[in-house]
This record gives sequence, C-alpha cells and structure tokens, in this order.
Amino acid sequence: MSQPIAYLLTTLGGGSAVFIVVVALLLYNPEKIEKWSALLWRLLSAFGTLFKGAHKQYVRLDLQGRLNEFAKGLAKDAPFLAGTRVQIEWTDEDVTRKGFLEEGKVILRLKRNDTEQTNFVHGAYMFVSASLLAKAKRYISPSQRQSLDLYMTTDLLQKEKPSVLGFFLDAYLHPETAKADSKISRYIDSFTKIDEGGLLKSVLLQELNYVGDKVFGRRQDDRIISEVNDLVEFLEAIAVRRVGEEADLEFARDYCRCAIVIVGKPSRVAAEGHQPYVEFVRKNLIPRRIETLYILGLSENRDLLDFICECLDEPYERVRTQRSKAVLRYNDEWIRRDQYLVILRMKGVRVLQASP
Amino acid sequence: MEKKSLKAVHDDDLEAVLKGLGIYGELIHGRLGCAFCKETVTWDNLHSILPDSGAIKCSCSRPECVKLLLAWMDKRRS
Repeated sequence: MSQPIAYLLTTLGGGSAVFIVVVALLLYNPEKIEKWSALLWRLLSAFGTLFKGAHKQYVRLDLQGRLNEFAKGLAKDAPFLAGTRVQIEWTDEDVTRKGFLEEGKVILRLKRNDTEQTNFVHGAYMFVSASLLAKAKRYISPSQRQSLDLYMTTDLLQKEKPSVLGFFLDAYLHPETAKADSKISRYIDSFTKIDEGGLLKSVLLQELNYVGDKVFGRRQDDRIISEVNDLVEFLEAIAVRRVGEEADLEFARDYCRCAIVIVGKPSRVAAEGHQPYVEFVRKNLIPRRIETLYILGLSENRDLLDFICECLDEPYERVRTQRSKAVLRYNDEWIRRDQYLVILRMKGVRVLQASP
Repeated sequence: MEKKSLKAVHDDDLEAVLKGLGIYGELIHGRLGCAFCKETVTWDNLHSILPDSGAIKCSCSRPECVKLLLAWMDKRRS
C-alpha cells in the first residue's frame, strides 16, 4: 500500500480515507466522471419528459468522456497527442446568423433518436480529424491525411465503443480500402503492419509531430508529402523484417532525420555489450545530424539500452522511454514480444530551421 | 492542456437553432441542398451546419459527404 493512502487510513479512519481517495482519483481522471455521469443521465433519459434535457446531457458527456479517455490513453505511446481535451459546446436558440458566421465554426448535429449510434461515430471522426497532429496534417497529402484519420478513428472506436466499429468500418473505411489501386488502402495496410511492429504511435506519429513543428507556418511543399510517403515505406520494411535480418535503419532527409538502433543480437550483446552500439551512433549517426534516435530492444535488455543511452547523453537527450508489445517475425513465425524503447533527441535541434 | 471545442446542436434545440439561423423554412420545404452532393437535406439526414463565405450551408450524412466536410474543414484550417 502506498504511503499516502496508509497515512490517510490511520489518521482519518477507513471510511473517510476511502472517500477522499475516490474523490482524488476522480479529480485526476475527469473523463471517468464524464463517462459515469453519462450513464446516470442515460438512465434518467429513460423517464421521458420527466427529466427534460437528460438525453442531451447523456450525449454530451458520453462523447466527451470517451474522446478524452482515448486522448489520455495515448499518453503512454504518444504523449504529444495526449495534450488535447475536447469539450462539446452546445449551440442553442440564442444563436444568430451574424454570430454564427462571425465565429466561423461548423456545428455538428447530434440526434435524439440514434439507433445506429452515429452521434459517437461522427463526433469521434471529427475530433480525430480536427485535433490529432493538426500541424503536420496541413502539409501532408489528402490521402495521407485521410488514411491517418481513418486509422486513428478505427483505433479510437475499437477502444472506446466497439459496438459502433462495424458501422464505421462499413460506412467509412471499407469503401476506401475496397477501391482498386487506392492510395488510402495502401496506407492503411502499411499503418497496420507498422502498428503491429510497435512503431506507429511511438515512431511514425512522433516523427510527423516533429515535422509538423518544423514546417508549421510555412508554404506547403511537395517534398514533405514525398518524405512522409518514404517514411511509411521505411517503417513498414522494418516492421515486417525477420529478426536478425539486415535492413536500412536510417532515414536522413530534409525534414525528417531519424534512425532506429536495434539492440538485439544475443551473441553481440553477450560478447561486446554496449560498445558497438555507442560507437556506431558516434561514427555514423551523429556526423550525419540524425536528430532522433529510437533505441529499441527486447524488455530483457532494458538495462543495456539504458546504459547505451547514458553513453549518448552528449549530444542527445532522453525524450521518453516506453514499453510495448510488438509482433516480431522469427523466420516464418510471428511472435508477440515485450519491447523497450528509448527515444533520444539531439540537443538544440531548432524548431525553426532554414528551408532545405 | 489544450482544449478543443466541438460545436454541436442536439435535436432538442435543432428547430430553434435552424430558426435562429434563418434556414428552418428552407429545410422543411426541401429547398436546402447538401453543400457537397447537392442532394436535398432533410430533418433525417442533416449532419452539420457550416459557415461558408458569408452563407450558411448544410451537409448531409452520406459518408462521402462527411469525408468531404472533414477535408473542407482541413483546407480551411491550412
């Protein structure tokens, strides 16, 4: 039992302490309050006109709570995506034509009679489209943008409301993936493989976030689209490679400069420890101004990965570490393994850089 | 933490909002076309209300039009 909870239990007595802990947990997780309140309003809405407005509250809190829980859940793999909280803002009878046009915001209609639960699907799709990686999405191609939105919305629905996933897939995703020679279909396929390899949120979306910061406010440039396309191909090749197989692990372009360092070969790890990895980075990656390093290995090699990163604390700084599960290919067998990843970013990389 | 607001209207207020915006009559008389597919927007298929170059437009709930609406919103942001 943690010390603060033990202290509360002894000083305040069991009942009060439990109450305080529950309140504190709820305050720390406002999206949980929203979701539970939504259930309460849903119950009240069953009484028809007796609780006028209950359905409206239910729709708002259910949508808001689930979207915020999803955004918070991204904190582990993609904290740069987790910093957004959504708030449903009702438009009511006070609205005027002039005020609406001046504000310039789209109003989404949420239905009372919503048998197919389209309210949630439309709200979630709009949230993903407008909020996630908003900076980077201004500079990528429409098919890249649409693929990301479709993929992330599918992920959101799968986690937060699986009952509506079928509707979304039938109405939005499958019509795109069914088209012959569809770019969206190819991207969705690639994202799926990259995600299974544990590299989608932690590497691809992270790199898109860095690119978004670099190019934000500038003119659109076709080179960004082409780089993103190549980055997807680069990560897909890594995600599907056999363990131990040689692969290109560096991606040094104009806007995006990253490398993946896989710490893994048991013979090498046992015989030489950290040295070959540190030397490789110093001799090959630092001179080429590789800005982000993704040091990746199995969880059992965690201490070694941490030590390698300590040796590289000049010129890199640790952005974060994360554990994840990835499906790795051993000859022709796919095995789910626990992975450990440390993300290092070169110190002093300027957000604003001269155009390449 | 950044807050994003999603503007919405619930069916309980829809009639009043459409009246406030001056498009209720057009909707119930079938004179409102979808901003994207041009099909008639009705009470059943109304998906959203959008401000566009000084005019108030509506879009329908066909998945194609929802995608076009999101693309239109993206374009306006960039």
